Order: sequence, then structure tokens, then C-alpha cells
Amino acid sequence: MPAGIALYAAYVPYWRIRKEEYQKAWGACHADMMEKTVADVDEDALTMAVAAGRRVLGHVDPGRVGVLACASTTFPYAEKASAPAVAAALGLPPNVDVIETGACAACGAQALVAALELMAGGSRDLGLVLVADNPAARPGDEWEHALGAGAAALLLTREDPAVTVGGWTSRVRESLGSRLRLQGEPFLRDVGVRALAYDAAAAVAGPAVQELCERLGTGPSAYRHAVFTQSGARQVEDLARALGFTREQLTGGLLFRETGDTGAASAFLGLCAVLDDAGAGERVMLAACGSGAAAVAVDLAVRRAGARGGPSVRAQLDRKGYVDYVRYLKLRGHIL
Amino acid sequence: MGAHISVPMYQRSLKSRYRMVAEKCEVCGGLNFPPKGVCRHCRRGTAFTETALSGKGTVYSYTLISGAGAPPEFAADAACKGSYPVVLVELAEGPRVIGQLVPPYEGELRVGTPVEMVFRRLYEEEGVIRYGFKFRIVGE
Repeated sequence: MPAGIALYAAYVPYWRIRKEEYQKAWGACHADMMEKTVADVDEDALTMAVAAGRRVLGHVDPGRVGVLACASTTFPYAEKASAPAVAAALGLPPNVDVIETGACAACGAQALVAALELMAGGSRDLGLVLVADNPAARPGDEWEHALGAGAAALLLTREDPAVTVGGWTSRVRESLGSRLRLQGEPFLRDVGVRALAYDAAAAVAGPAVQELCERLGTGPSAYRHAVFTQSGARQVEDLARALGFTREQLTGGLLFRETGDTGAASAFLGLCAVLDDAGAGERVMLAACGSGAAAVAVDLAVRRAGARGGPSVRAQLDRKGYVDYVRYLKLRGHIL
Repeated sequence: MGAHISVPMYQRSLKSRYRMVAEKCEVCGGLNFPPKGVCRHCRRGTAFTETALSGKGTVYSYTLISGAGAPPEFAADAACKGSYPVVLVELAEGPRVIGQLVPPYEGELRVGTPVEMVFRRLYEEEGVIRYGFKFRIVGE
């Protein structure tokens, strides 16, 4: 049997900031959210990846993990691998095969399919995919308002997976001007034309989903849930509608209004939320896309419910404390 | 800088700092955490086997560090939070260890409160991020 998901877990940081804090500070909030997640001052993409990973590895021997795939656009070092720190923190064997992806918000799905391919070789027992992100932009930039934080972990197995992977399709298309950060720059920016981001996402995510459906002989109606990378709630709804998905298919996995834009983690937090409630037989379309532009669409089917390795996404979203805007700037390191 | 820990020293203690790996004395079987050169129980053993601790325990005692009380390496933490609790935790396997407590803790922190380890950023020095364990109060 090809590899699939044995266990999954989400990690949502404790802090939130409400839309109203942005309205007080800047006169308006430019994200279509109610509130968003905020990493604590001692959290980053690496610690959140480890937190999610510890949740799934609480159920198995970490020594059996043969593949470790770490994905983030915001791991703390520009050069210095993050996987060794993750492996050390989780007690993984030193000969683990590692994959690190980044550079755009599609990197989580890229890590997932790369890990599945390595697992297909047959010599590895378990694989661990960690997707974590904590994107940052200049406080004065309108689209900083949306940026949140979070992480998810998927434990892969070839033996009796709870969620199977039916296939995937990738798509790339050179696209300029949206969500970029040159080497050495701390903050994301764009050229100020929001439509470019819409167009870039649609130009890769759309064809990836359509090609996968054609190859598998499915269509939007074959899926109970569709989960997308979430840089805005309306953006996801527009893209999904154009592809023929209904609002109902999005409901379970569209977390943006409560989490904000969690970058690479957004599609995977959405997937965790969907799996929390999914029953056996339900199919899920996962479509991750990022600026550049690149997309990966993945077909998933639930064989068995109850593969949750940690607290549910809902429980984590409901367990929270609020910070005001000044505290937010401090947690983000903008005024320390 | 107050309690300077060099990169080589930090490197040698990564297992205990990242994953709470203790050392079991081959003479008396006592658990040493953090690891020591000579067993703190029998004061004879110098050979050990590694054993990972569960990271779970209960608050044995605690204090609140605020203002000028913060060690310089935790200055950013202190400046951000104003104050932060530090707990002395009695681990399930026996050793007692000090660590910071991460939010939320308002109204929940007392002697005997169950806690578990979390992996967090401690501080940055020489351009090197120092990761290690802190504790959180157990609860969904």
C-alpha cells in the first residue's frame, strides 16, 4: 500500500489579536478576519514545528522515523539547516532522511509529496511532515494585518494508513510582484497590486486541481472538503467558486477568519480541522499554493476516523488569550 | 552579559536542553538531570546511560521574576511580559529542575500544579539562537 497519514496534529499558539485592535491603531483592518493567531515572544516556526511533532510522536517510537520533511517560509536561520534541531528535539535517529522546503506558502505540500516519494522506496517505516509558519511584514503595510502563526504535523506510514493519498499534481508559473522577500530582508512585501496575488494563486492552484481531477476521474463534487492555502478568506472563496467548489465544501477547513494568514501552515491547519470531523469514506482536496507561483494539489481519502494526535483544532482555537496592539508589536519583536 | 554559556558548552548540553535526556548512574542507578560529571546520588559513579525523561511533573515551588530581577539573557522576555514565572518542577522520574513557565498561567499556578515541558527559544547570544525547555500547565 502506498504511504498515507497515520496520525496528524495541529499546533495553534495561545495568543490572539482582534480585528478591532488594528482598527484602533491604524483606522482600519485590511484583513477579512475576526481575529488572528500570534506566536509568543519565545516561539518561532521551529518551536511550533516541534510542538506539533511532539503531539504525533507521543504515540509512536521516534526511532522508527526514517523521513523528516520540514516546511516553512520562516525558519529562523537563512542558512543553517533546521531539520537537525527538529530531529534533536524530537529524538529522531541521526540517519533520518531530511527534506527542507521553503520559499513560498506551497512548501508544505511540496514537503508532503517529497516525503511520500521517499517513503515509496519501501525502506522507511515512518515519515514525519512538519509545516510551520510565522510570516512577518512591516507594521505599516496593509497586508501585515492578516499575518498569523501556526503549525501542523503529519505522521506518514505505509502500513494501514488512516488517510490515503490518491495522487497529486504540481503546477508552476513564473509570476512577478506578489508576496516577496529578497535575501536578507526581514519583511514580506509586494508591489502594492493585490490583484497580482489573486491572479498568481488562481493561475497555479486552478490548473493543478483540474489536472488532478482529470487524472483521477473525479471532479469538485467528488470531494466532501476542499482546503486551500489561506492568505484571505474571500480570496479562497473566489478561487474555490471559480473551480466549481461550493461554500459548504470550504467550511470545515477555512480557518482564516480565526487564524489570519498562517502562510504555509494554513492549508495544513485547515486539513487538520477537516480531519477532526471527517468520517470514513470522505474525500478531501488539498490545494496549496504560494507566490512565485507554485501549487500542489493532493487528493486524500479518509479510511478511518480518529487519527488525531493532539487536541482538536477547534479546542485550540477556543483556548486563547488576547493581546492589545502594543503587546502584539512586542511579541513580534517590532518594538523590543 | 550575566550567565554566559559558550557555544561549545551549549552544544554539549543539547540533549538535556532540547529533549530532557537524563543520565542514569551505572553504579547506583540514580538519575542525574541535568547531567553531571560525577553522580550526585552516590558521588562515585562517572559512567552513565542516557534515558529520556517524560517532561511531565508537578510544580514543587515557583516565583515571579520582574523588572531588574531578570538575568540579562532573558531581558527581552522580561521587557515584553513585564514579569514571568519561574517554576521548580519535580519531574515524574524524580529529578527537580528549574524552568520558565509559558502562558497561560493566571490563577492556575500553585504548588502541585501538573506541568509538562515545551520546546521554546530561550535567548540569542553570539548570533546563535539558544533553544531549550520551558514548562506549560497541562490542559487541552
